[in-house]
Amino acid sequence: MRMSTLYLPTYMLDATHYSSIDVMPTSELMEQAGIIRKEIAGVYGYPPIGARITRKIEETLAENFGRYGFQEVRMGMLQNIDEWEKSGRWEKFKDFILSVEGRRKTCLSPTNEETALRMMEDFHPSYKSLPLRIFQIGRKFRGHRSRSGLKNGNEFDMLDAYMFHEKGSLLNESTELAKDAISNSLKAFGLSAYEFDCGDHIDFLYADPYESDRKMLRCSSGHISDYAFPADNCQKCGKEGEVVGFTEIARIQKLGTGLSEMMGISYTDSRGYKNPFEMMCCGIGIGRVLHGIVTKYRDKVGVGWPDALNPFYLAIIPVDPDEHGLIEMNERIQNVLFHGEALIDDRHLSVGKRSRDMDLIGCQKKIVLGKREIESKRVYLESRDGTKESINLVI
Amino acid sequence: MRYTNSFINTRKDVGKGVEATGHILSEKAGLVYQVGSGLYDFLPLGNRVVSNIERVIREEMNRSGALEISMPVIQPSDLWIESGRWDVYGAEMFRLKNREGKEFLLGPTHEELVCQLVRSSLKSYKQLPFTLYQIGRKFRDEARPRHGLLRTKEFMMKDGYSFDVDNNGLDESYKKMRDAYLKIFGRMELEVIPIKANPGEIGGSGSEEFLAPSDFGEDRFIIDGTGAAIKIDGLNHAPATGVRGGIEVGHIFKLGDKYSRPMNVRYSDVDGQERYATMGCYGIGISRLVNAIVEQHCDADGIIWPREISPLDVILLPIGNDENVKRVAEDIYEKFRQNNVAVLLDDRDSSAGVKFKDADLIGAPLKLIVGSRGLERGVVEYKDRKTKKVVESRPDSVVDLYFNLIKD
Repeated sequence: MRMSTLYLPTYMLDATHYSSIDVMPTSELMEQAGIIRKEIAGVYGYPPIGARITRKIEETLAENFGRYGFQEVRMGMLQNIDEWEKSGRWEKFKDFILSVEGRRKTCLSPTNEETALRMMEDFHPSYKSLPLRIFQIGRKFRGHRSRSGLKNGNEFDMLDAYMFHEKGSLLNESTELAKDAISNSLKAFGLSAYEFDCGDHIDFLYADPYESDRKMLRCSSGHISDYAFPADNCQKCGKEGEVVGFTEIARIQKLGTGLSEMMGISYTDSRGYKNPFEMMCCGIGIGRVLHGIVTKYRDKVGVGWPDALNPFYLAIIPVDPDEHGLIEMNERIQNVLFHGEALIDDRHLSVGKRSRDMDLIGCQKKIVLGKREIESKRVYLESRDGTKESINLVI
Repeated sequence: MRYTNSFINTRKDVGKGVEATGHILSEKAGLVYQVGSGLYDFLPLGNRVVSNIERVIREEMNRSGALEISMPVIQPSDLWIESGRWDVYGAEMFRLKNREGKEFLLGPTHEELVCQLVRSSLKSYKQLPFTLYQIGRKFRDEARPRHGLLRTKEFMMKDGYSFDVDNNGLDESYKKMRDAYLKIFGRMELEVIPIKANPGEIGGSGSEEFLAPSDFGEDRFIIDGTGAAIKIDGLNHAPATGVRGGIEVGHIFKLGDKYSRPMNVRYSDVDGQERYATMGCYGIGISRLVNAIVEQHCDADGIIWPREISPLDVILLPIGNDENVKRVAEDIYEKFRQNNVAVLLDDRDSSAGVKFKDADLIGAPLKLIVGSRGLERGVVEYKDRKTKKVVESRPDSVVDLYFNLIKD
């Protein structure tokens, strides 16, 4: 693959703000590397590398939720505002909802409990088909004041699941299934999250030294608890703890029967009576998973993706991009060193600039090809930490 | 998937005014649920069809060298003022304001945003050509939504944009996309007719539509003496014979500098001259494809899905209450699952009649029938949904036979 035939924009480091990549907030590093791009305040798009990794995250989540018995659906992003009035949530949430000017009173979906319940009404299940668990992956919208960074956008991607049970169910099985689906998905990317049980909801948090959402106390046994100054002892075991920044990646929430009652949507129980659903929901921010992955794998020079996600393993940088010997050298490299397809950066830019870009987008190894390397058929294979290994390409 | 734990919702009746075959069947087979006028949710079977369509599109787009990106649904009014479309797009555009009172719109199309993305990093002719695409939601505030998924307020679309140095380059990029489109529709077993078209609101120098013949399509065309398809618009009252209806499932455009000039998407040429990029744009209507495919692939009993996009590979039908039948069906169900065959086990306590009716309505390419009479002879039966051909199998070789059957 040649860089000149791809469209992989990277953006220049703003030297006035940050002295090096180490100290940069993760969202900004992601913009520099062309993983995300701010279109307007609070609204991001994904250039090719970001789109590719986002796809992978979505596929992994869909596969795991499918395996644990959740059925995938796709609900509309436009919702009737009436439904929010019927569920009694409009007054409470209207400031967080983006209303749309059109022929009808509609808004953009911030979440889908109301519409999911409407689908259940149409399905009119009996107790025999419960519990029912559905999920979707798609855009969500929030009307809060736009803040910077990927994590608090006005438009973002999310997996949201809705679980419907008989009234009075304990929800243990659904909780375990959702937990397993979440943690197995994260495990596929080498991530692990702390589960923080708050009674009616469980938050999944990852330690984030760069751009955290909230501060928690973490003790030496690995418990995390709310941090109430000046107490600095773990609320679970009493051991001393340290204050660590975390970012929320997912949440499982018990909703009770209230929404179902307000909207008058029910199932038929074993004695033939109508009852409201015991509901539970679960949400995972796709952008937050991406953010968590970058937080974990970022290094001094860019984002060193894990193997499962790596868009490009090896970069070849010819000093002269029009060099005739390039094709033959690429073949040698393929035969001797690396059997996949290398990314050849044949752009007419300085070697330094190209080398920086290849590090930024996450190539694990680099080879610079100058006159001397081509003549001697001996190259240096450079790792992300700067160590070099001399390789003989004569077979 | 087991029928009793599934969120599959087949219906006997459809609402008033539902007349197009594709609309009737997508409601009856439980592909979609209508939320409101022109608004639909996709239920599990419908969602699987859409995901399969998206997979085919993605594979062919990537094979053609196009790169996938993802752009926001919310677009700022500034960009549309810059391109000159903010005031001309009219009542079909959904608009909104944020907390600060700034104006936005919900994207009916993405030329403006892709121009903004590309101009942020395009400098030299050496970066060209490239084609970007995305798969996502589009919005149009239709006054009269029609025929189910055919004309809706919110729909799924693949939109692609090519950037070239000049018209020769554009011709090449355009041809690549055209070829990819024919492959995509071919894999979905959808008959389409490419037809020269009026560029409409998108503008530009030339365009072609891909029409899927259907009685309920909103476009009209005839095939002339030379075999070429010609579109007939409302004003042109051509002879009534041979006029066919078509659903517009794809549209490709040569845009030239129609957007790159007002949006200032420039590169410096070989001689250092600043020039505007030459653009093309390429759309496929994914939601309406579901409708178009159903129209072309159905019979009196229901849908007959083309294999590539079918929501299910096999529907497994144990008939009767015999314990042996249930045991054999469960066993086969597990084997299919282990081999990643998308199987629906109809484990309801329903009559054979109800099970067959629903299976034909949903329309997987194959049914596998497990009955006590067959088991006495040691066989189960595959039945092809389309040809109705029956093939017997021993219960322990159903998976091998399945892979043989789909090879043909």
